[in-house]
Amino acid sequence: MTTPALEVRELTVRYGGTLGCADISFDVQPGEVLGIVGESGSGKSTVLGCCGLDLQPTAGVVRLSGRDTAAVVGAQRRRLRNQDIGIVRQAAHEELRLGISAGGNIAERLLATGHRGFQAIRARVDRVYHEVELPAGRMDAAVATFSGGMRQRVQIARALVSEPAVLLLDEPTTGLDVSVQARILDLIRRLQRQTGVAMVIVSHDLAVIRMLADRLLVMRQGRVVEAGVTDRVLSDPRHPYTQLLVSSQLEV
Amino acid sequence: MLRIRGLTKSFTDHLRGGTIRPVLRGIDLDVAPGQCVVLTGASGSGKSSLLRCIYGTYAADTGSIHLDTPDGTVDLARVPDRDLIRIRRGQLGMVTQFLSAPPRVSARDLVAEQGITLEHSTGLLTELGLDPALHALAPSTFSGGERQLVNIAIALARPRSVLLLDEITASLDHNRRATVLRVLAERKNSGTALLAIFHELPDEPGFIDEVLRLDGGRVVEAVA
Repeated sequence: MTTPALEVRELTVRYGGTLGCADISFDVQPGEVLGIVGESGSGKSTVLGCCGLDLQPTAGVVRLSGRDTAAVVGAQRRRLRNQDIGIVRQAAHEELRLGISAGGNIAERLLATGHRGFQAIRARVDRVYHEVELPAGRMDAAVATFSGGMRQRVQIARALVSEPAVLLLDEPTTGLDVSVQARILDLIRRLQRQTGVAMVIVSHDLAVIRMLADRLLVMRQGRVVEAGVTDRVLSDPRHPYTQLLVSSQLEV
Repeated sequence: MLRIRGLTKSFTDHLRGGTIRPVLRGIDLDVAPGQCVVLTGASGSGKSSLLRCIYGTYAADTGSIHLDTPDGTVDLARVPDRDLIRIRRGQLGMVTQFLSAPPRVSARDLVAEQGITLEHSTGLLTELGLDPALHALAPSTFSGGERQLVNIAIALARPRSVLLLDEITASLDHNRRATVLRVLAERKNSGTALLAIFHELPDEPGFIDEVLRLDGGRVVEAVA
């Protein structure tokens, strides 16, 4: 077995007296997709926040390609986050700066990891911009003028331009029109297969999870209540909460 | 070789006060390489549940499901998740009546994603009788039978040692059904073990080696 791209061991986060998540363990190999489902407040975003180095664990370990991230602080931590982790969020404005151009948003991650040389940066940005099928000629337009679907494409381009080991997706298609959602999912699926990036996807939509995830964690009240191969968890749910979750969706 | 012993499966419905519904009550079954074993029985007799337990879509309660792989014999009833995923990409294939495909990927790309070339993919789709004009389109617009051909092609794209087939010819016309059965017979002759449910038993001579009738989650009768 190779070194996991992302490894989480006995992760616990407390916000003062409130439990964010407790005793979470999993790992994701290069090329694998892990799904996380659970109701609001179940701790999914807390787990993702620790994987994305935005939150510090109260206890437990997060390793990126074998490296313990607790020891990485300050500028080194920001650099690691910009280099090895890509993040796509439901709300694009949390990850993008709407006032600057699409190209600028994408290039920023390369600049943050010490890339220099206008031509080289421009070439990489250009390539990934076209890979996510954004319209030619809009690269220098401010992201504020982009539609919801286009903003998600900019986020995906920004996330992947540094060729990260891990891609974290937090409800990447929630709130988009169904037709736009299908195209974004298609793009995510294709790029994940092309790049072999390890991926963690949080979604409320079990059909999205079924389509993308190899394995699935079901979280409730900060804990993993069920885990397994995706179709097993969704077709033969054993925990009462998973049964409720699966039976609540019209069709998956 | 697929070797099943004492396999049981029940569902516990926690939303109905923990009601337990047994679906398999002790299945013993062998399928040898190059053999085709067909399951029959009324609806609810456990045929599909058995296939799903073997594929790992349902978790078995007790018993064993031994499959020979290049890395040794594996008990699918107890296999770690990652090994199951690897075995599904390699030795073990399953085809159901329903294609669950991402909405915008073309038929030939879906098949090629199994790790074969586009040329091989279009060749296989053509062999199974899918109109070449459809190869570059997404199956979401296809008829039930056309989708089914894509589904079958996905499972046949790579050589498998065991194929689980759940009513795969039900939505096919007479000619395409015959074509699919001919392709399956070729796989069988080259050593693939087939465990299948058919709505209508194929009468191609030599195709079926054994018919087992299930009732109430048990094998009640073997017909040679």
